[in-house]
Amino acid sequence: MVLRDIVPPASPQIRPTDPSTDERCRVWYDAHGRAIYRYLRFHLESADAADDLTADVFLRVLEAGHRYDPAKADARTWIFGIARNALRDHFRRLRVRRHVTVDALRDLAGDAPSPEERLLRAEEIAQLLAAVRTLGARDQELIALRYGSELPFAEIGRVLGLGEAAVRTRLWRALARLRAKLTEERS
Amino acid sequence: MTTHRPDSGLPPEFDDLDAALRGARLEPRASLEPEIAGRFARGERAARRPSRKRMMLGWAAAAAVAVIALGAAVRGGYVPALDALAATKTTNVCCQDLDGVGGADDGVIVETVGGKRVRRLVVYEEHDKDRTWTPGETVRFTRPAAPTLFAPKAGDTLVTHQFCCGDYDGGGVPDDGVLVVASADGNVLMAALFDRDGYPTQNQLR
Repeated sequence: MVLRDIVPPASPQIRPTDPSTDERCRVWYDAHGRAIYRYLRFHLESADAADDLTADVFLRVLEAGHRYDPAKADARTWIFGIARNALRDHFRRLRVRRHVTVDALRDLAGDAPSPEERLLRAEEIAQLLAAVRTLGARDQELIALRYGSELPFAEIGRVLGLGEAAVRTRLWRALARLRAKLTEERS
Repeated sequence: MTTHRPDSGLPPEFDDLDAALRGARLEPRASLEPEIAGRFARGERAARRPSRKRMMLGWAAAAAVAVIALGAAVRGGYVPALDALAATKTTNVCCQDLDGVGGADDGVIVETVGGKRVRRLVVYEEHDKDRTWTPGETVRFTRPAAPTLFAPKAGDTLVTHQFCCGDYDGGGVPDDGVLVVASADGNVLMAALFDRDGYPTQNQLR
């Protein structure tokens, strides 16, 4: 399976003449909601915070929908721009980081057969995400776009204004730093 | 063992990390989309940081106050606010077992005014052994000037930890103690300073 298979295939072209807010919201959200949520979730410590900020992003998208020009940017690139701004604003407002337990991973989709296995899996993911959040802002951003939103390298490049090769190289470096963090913590 | 995925675009040595990160499939709550549509239809708008114009007005007001205060000081007038600003001090004490969990891995940062009044108090968890808070280290508790007790969760058992004495307020003398109330699982619910002299009967937490 190639990564493109699990990314929504095309960005919808929303125009101001769309019939209703409900419909606009549904189309935007169906195409990009999950990717935006996962991107934000890699940066945020709780599922509630990610839900709230995802809602905030889509409110901004709906407010600014009439200004979106498909000739200038792909819809997903445009929405990710809005999400990145919303995340920056969120961190400016927040300033402090809070301690969050494994319970906060209520949003983890899993096929673990037993509660014990699910808990172990959740703990493993919680440790992984916590380690990601100790990385520098650039590394976090790359990992969130790649593994949170599952964007292909070329699309990450468009969001960050980088070439595909540069994205690839920076991701390797980010993963090497992540591995070092994990090794340090486990030792 | 993890098999190499050529489509990952990564060298094979990252396969295990690549697989682990791909496994973090997190889902928004199912009701989110109708909630957003409903909020927008009701006229609700996204939370935003203050507009540039409002921030400029804020800065202008602050500058005006500073100019007036400075003018008064130069003319010999007494401006208490300037004293308070000049005497603000931040003290970091690390590391102790403030929360009763994980050993002596907690630090406390106290911002005081006039070497006495606590303006801000933060308890953090020290991870990288540099004995000070660095970005990425968990903030366990933070409070403004007044001592604050966060509500415990139902069924929580509370434990009080007391440390005395040290120079927690930056006054230059190790005559302060710190009192921490935490749940048995280490969630810090309250932290405050007290003076060694007079504690506990003739003293107030600050």
